[in-house]
Amino acid sequence: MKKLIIGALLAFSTTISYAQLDFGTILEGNVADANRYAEGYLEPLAVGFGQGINGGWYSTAKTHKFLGLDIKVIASGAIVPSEKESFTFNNSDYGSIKLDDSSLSQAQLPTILGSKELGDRPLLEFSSNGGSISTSSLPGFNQIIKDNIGLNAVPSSMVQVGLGLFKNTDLKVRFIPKQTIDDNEFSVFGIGIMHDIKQWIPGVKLLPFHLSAFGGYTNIKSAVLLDASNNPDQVVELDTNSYVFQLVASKKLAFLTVFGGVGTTSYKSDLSVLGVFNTSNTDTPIVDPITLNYTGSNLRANLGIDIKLLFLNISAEYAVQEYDTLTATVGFSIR
Amino acid sequence: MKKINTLKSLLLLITVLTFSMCEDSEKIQFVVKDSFDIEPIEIKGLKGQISYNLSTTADISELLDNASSFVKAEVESIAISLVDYSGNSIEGNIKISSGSLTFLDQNVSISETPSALTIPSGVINILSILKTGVFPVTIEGVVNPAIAGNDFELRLTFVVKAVVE
Repeated sequence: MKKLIIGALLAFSTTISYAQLDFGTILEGNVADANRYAEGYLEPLAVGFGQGINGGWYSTAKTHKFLGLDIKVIASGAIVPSEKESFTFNNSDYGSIKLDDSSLSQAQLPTILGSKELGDRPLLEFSSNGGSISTSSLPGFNQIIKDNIGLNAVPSSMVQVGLGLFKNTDLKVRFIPKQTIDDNEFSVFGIGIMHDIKQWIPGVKLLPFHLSAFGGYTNIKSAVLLDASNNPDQVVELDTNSYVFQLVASKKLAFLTVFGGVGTTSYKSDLSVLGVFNTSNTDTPIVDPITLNYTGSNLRANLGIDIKLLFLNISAEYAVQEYDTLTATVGFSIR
Repeated sequence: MKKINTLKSLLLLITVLTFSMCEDSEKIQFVVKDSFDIEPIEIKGLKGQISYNLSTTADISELLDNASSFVKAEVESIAISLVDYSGNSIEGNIKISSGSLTFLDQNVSISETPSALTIPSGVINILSILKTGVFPVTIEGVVNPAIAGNDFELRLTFVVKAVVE
């Protein structure tokens, strides 16, 4: 992911440098333009995280016995809808950036999870201080993702612990303290509650399946240093909060459990480019140039299976939502 | 606690693998379109002539940062204009070339208003010229009626479209 973000943000400045412009100059030209472009370009990444991290909370509607425990590793991929591989660029929305082809007033440009082919990337004209240069719009990285993980999806992963409390209620906690890999930092915190509601419904509690209500919250913070050696203050931060509320049902068949849920999910992702960016034309640096907020909510329905192999529980689920999400988990469960 | 640490290590491994799998072995290409002016060509003593042959060079070294990363480059268009010409325009055939490469050879009307002449795409690759840092230009013309001015300038602006990576 670091490669994607840095590739996206710096490919621009690297290319622009051929004509003695730089990222700072573009920002100086119009910070609002940079924000507007980044909003469309980065949307699938921010929304994908917001949708993807809702997966894997449960693989059964059956709650633990008192002090029962489960621990699992969760890997999710929020599949980017084909229409989110591009966004609409309108000339009228921008001040110093225009489509190079003057016969067009709008065009579809790739998002970060769109195409990198030159033919799919219309030229944009950047104007600054009376001069201008045209360059291809930013590349997408969908082919790289497809080549490596088989589908165009935003990946995420985490560890979760579930603990049985009283009255058929499970507490689920996701937690990873701040980790640093190369120049990439991330941390995870999440908390969820699952409660067996079948026990409270006369008649239904005798039926041969499990039924629970679930609510969960997950927060992922990540930070990518753009230039750790020379400009350690320049960083891209992604702070994603995600909520899910569902009714969950499951049925155990021998070593196999089929589970599913219906409910709602919502997310709030804040993406920022922070730091001081110097400009070539003035002595006034641009500070913290990009701040983007993405929010959304939608219905969520998922279906999955859980297989118990000795002490291991392996599950897979597919969730239908704004960005359909595939999730796989591996772990073990006691009581 | 040991199992939790093991899971955490496994998670980090998955994360690192996922991230590292996103490395791109292929270079990303960009089309960059930029223009450069050649020094205005001073034309003196041609009044009454019906043909001319001019040559000059342009320093394009500023276009050459990381020139080894250029994949291909071509001239997309050439804008021509006159400065301080005593007549209205120069009508006739003009041939603009660089070495053995001919960009255009056609009838045009040159005036003080720049007119952009489009070069067919994919015909001429000027990558080898770009790498030298110097852009030699030859301009040959046959005009009708004869040239009306005796001391004026001819200005040319080249728009170069390059694929870089």
